[in-house]
Amino acid sequence: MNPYLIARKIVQTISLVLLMAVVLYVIFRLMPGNPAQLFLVSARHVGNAQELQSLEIELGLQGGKWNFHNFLVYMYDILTFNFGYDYYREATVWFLIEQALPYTLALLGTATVLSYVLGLPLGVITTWFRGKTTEGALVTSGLVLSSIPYFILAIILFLYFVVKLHIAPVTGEFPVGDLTTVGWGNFVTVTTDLALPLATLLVIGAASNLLTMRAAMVSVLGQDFIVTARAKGASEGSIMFHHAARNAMIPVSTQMALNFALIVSGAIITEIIFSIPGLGLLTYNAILDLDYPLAEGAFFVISLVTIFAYAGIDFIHAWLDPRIQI
Amino acid sequence: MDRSTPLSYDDQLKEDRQRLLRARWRFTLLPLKGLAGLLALSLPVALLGWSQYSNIVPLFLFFGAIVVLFAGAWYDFGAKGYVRDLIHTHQPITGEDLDRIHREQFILTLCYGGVAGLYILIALGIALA
Amino acid sequence: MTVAVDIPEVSRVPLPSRARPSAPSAEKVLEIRSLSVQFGTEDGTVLAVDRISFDLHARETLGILGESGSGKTTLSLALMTLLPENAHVEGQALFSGEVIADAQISGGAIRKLKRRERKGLSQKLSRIRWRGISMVFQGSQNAFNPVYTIEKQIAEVFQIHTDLPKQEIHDRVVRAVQRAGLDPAVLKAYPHELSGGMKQRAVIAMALALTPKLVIADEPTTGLDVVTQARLIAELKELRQTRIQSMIVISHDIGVIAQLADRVAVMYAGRIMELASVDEIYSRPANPYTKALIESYPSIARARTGIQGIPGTPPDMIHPPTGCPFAPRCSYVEERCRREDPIPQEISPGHWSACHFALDIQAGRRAPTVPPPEALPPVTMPDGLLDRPLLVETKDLTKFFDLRASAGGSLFSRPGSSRVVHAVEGVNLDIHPSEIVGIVGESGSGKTTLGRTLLRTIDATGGEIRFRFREEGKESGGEVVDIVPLKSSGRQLREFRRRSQMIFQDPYDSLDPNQIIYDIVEEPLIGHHMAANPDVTLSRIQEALRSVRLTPPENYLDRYPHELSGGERQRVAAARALVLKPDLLIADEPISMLDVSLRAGFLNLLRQMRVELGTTIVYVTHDIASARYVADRILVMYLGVGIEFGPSEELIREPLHPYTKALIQAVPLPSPTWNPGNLEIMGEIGNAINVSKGCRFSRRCPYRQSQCEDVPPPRKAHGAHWYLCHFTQEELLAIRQKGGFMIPPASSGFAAPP
Repeated sequence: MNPYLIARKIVQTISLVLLMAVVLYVIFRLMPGNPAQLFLVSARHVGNAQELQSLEIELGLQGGKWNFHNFLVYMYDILTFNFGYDYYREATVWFLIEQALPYTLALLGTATVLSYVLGLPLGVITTWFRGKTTEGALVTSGLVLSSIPYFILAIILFLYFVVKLHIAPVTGEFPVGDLTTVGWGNFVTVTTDLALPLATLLVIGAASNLLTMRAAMVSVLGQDFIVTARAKGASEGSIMFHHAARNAMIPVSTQMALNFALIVSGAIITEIIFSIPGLGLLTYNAILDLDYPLAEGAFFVISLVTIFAYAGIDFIHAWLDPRIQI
Repeated sequence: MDRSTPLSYDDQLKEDRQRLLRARWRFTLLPLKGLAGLLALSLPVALLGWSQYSNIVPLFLFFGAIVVLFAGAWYDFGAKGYVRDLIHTHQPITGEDLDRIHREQFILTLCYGGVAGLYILIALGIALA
Repeated sequence: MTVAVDIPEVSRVPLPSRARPSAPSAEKVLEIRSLSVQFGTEDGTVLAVDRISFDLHARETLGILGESGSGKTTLSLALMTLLPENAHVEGQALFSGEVIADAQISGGAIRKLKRRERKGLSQKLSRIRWRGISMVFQGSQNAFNPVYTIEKQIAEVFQIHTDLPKQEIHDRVVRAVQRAGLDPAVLKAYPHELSGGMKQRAVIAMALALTPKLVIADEPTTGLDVVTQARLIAELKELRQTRIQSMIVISHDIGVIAQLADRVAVMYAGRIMELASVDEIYSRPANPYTKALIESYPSIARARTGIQGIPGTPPDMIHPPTGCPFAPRCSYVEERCRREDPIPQEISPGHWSACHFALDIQAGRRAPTVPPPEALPPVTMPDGLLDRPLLVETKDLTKFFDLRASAGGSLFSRPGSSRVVHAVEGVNLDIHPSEIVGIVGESGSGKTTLGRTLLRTIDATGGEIRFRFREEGKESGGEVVDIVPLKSSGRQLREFRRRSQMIFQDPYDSLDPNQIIYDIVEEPLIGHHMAANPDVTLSRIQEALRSVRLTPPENYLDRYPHELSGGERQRVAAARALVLKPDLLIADEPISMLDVSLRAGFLNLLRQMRVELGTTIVYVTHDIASARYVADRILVMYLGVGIEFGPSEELIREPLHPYTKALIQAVPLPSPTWNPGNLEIMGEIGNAINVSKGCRFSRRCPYRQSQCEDVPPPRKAHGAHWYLCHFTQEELLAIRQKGGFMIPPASSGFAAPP
């Protein structure tokens, strides 16, 4: 790939991160209420004016919400992952995020990768078995599963496996160390605890990938070069995977970016339902508590993950399609 | 465009170079005009002696800087239209053409980055003054 | 099958036999026995191929001639066992004695095979496909997979069918593309990086890579420029002597078929109507359909006479008519034809025809039973046409596109090279009222741009377009105004827009599918505020529909475009243009999307419009034969410049400019003397950017001399006929004889023109 193009893509990613930081700043300043006052209210403490002022100084709020100096401090802090101190949880925000991030990355990463590893070949297989019962069964189940909202599937799984069958743990609160260190015991804990949330994301993600891939395959299989490949005597497997799937991946890869945003939202919901102490649950609690510093930090980290995923998808797309890209 | 005397190759190169610089300048002028506009808009307020001027205006200039950087990074600077024109007029698009397109786009991205820096400098200037 | 008893005694003048390496041998490559193909669709069962039988011998080329929907492409897919799953086959096709199509193995029947049978079939197919039968597909633009290089795709053929090592495969791929006239550099390219002609050559290289026993070429030259087409035909003819063992060529163009085939099967509605040698088919057709098809299209080889086309449309193959499928359109039809299916009969050795009256038709003994629907318009120019005062006159009309004009263009264009497209340059054209002027050129010649500039849908860069605003009903008089500088919101330009209309190429795209015909034809009236009175509007619309022979108009008013055939749609487009009673009508390739048998009808319509309504028509086309039929005078365009202009008959019979000569020479004729191998033209048209200062054509001209490149050529007139060249006809002849004549290479290869 052209070095200038790569450099530009890097600048694009940076500009997105900066824009994200500014948008977060504006959104949080547009929210009603004064965080210092909110803090005192939630602490059930009727503070006097002096207390309020010292709290404002501590939170970096003196000089009003729209203050250039505060903004510069905010930008510097957020870009150095210094999100401040969380009074509710008695820890720095970064520490809290650091603790939560591995759960989310494990859940999200595994779910994303597996939903493609499962969904794309299944999409190819449905077209391979076109006209047979296998195709009908796969497509129907794909349609049904992909149209279930994440939270409903999560609740159904929770009720059935946890409440009724008692074969899955109620919460997935295993120590972070199990994720970050390698070991058989850790692996077993992690898989049993993450099985249900992973299944939720995986089933819906794979089903929708199956449908996208199938639609792309059907349109590619109708093209002339597939007839050429058949006439050349290429085997059905070669036609499906070498000729058709490679082309069908081009539209699918443009869809990937969109799907990723969806799966992120799904991950947040499943974390809440299965009480996985990941970023989703953390953000959810932060919003309920009106814990602005934590919410801001969590949002920023989630957007960072999404932005970097987008950049990766961009490169995948460029690699798949040799035609001109500008 | 219909010249009475055709240019020599070197003159043509020189002219093309100037044309290129002019085009770059034309694109860079856009965010500069935006900067001037923002400042002009805020001028009456400054003259009225609004106390929050040195607080709010730099903030908005900074937001503007990020928007300019973003635009410079993502806008194609007419490359898609240019490639479409080439195809419409039955012309080959070589790897060299694509390299040039990417290089020019990157240069303009840098230019926009520079203008964004100017926004920030002026913002800091107003804030400190 | 019954063999006809009496063989007519018609003196036959044998046409010169073609040089062949060896005569067709007795070995049968292909035996087709009463093959039928049906497709199950939601609307019903479509009969695509109907009881076809023929043999193909080794070293023989069979041409299949037919219009779209005749089943020719389905037949070729059946031979490759590539039919879709909704297909049902009856009868049998054998390739070298092995069954390749029958009720058990083709189409959806494959599903019913047992596992072992299916395995046996797939083994047989992988042996036969490409090594036995290979294919050059219709629309080769999409025959290559867009994400792989050409090399990878040709090498795939060797990987599937041979066990050769990598290096050996590479060497063979290189040899294959070289034999097809390509530079091995194309191997590293992706399909989108090649031009149409190069892609077509690469497809041919791939088809011949394994030297198959049989090559099926489905419309191998359709969509290419006439010069490229002629070269490809020459190359295929040459390959036929060396690398191609036997071949089936499928085309709608009798010229292409005649050049490549030994025998021709004429297909209509899924059947073979007639099967005979090329010369027999062309000179002594024994089937009304063949006769009508050959006569339905103007040819530059024949005298310029009125042609009728074939009335009506092909039958609905969901409910095929009983009796002869051609009966509803046949002018020799009798009651028996509608009742009784004609059985193919051998009327002379090797000449089969499916017609009850084959012998009478061949001998010309049978009089038409159905009179032609209407009298043909005269093909000659009306008297005194060229003496009338001009309607349109252009002076040095020029349209440049500056790629640098756009903001992006100035950034990205190549330094040191001009990026001004000389789309139209210095065109001087004079058009008389009620005249039909043809503009002819290859793609990229600027003919479409010229048409649009004349209408001012594109603004000219320079020059004048003088248009006479005549008073209604008067031949002469009226104000002559230059259209170019008029303001776009001005009254006069509005008036010009009312007086000038356009018909577009694609009758499927140019009509809004959600509007009924009434709305479509009413639209220009609304646009010019002439639809205030509903009664007047209705009568105007009906009049317009009547003038394009959509009668009675009431039957068409509330129908949607999709309910009409392609020919009818194009007539609706013409009605929409005529409803404003324009003085000037520009028709841009109006027949190129229509079926061959419907084209003549539309060409006749254009001529009738001129006679009945006095409309002046500019007919833009790449097809010089149709221009000759319809136009009074023809302008030949090359890279934006009009290089020759004259009365059409004169221009075709005695072309003066070397380019016109080559262009006419490149049109394939059903004649054995036509030889595209020595076309007097080099390279390809290229683009209108780095044009030479002198003669536009100099880079491709075999007569080129030193001054051609630098000095613009003067206009040389022969009466009403002029051309742009430095040399008179005598001088050109002298250059040729002196040996200063460059014989162009047989193929252009990969190298772009300078």
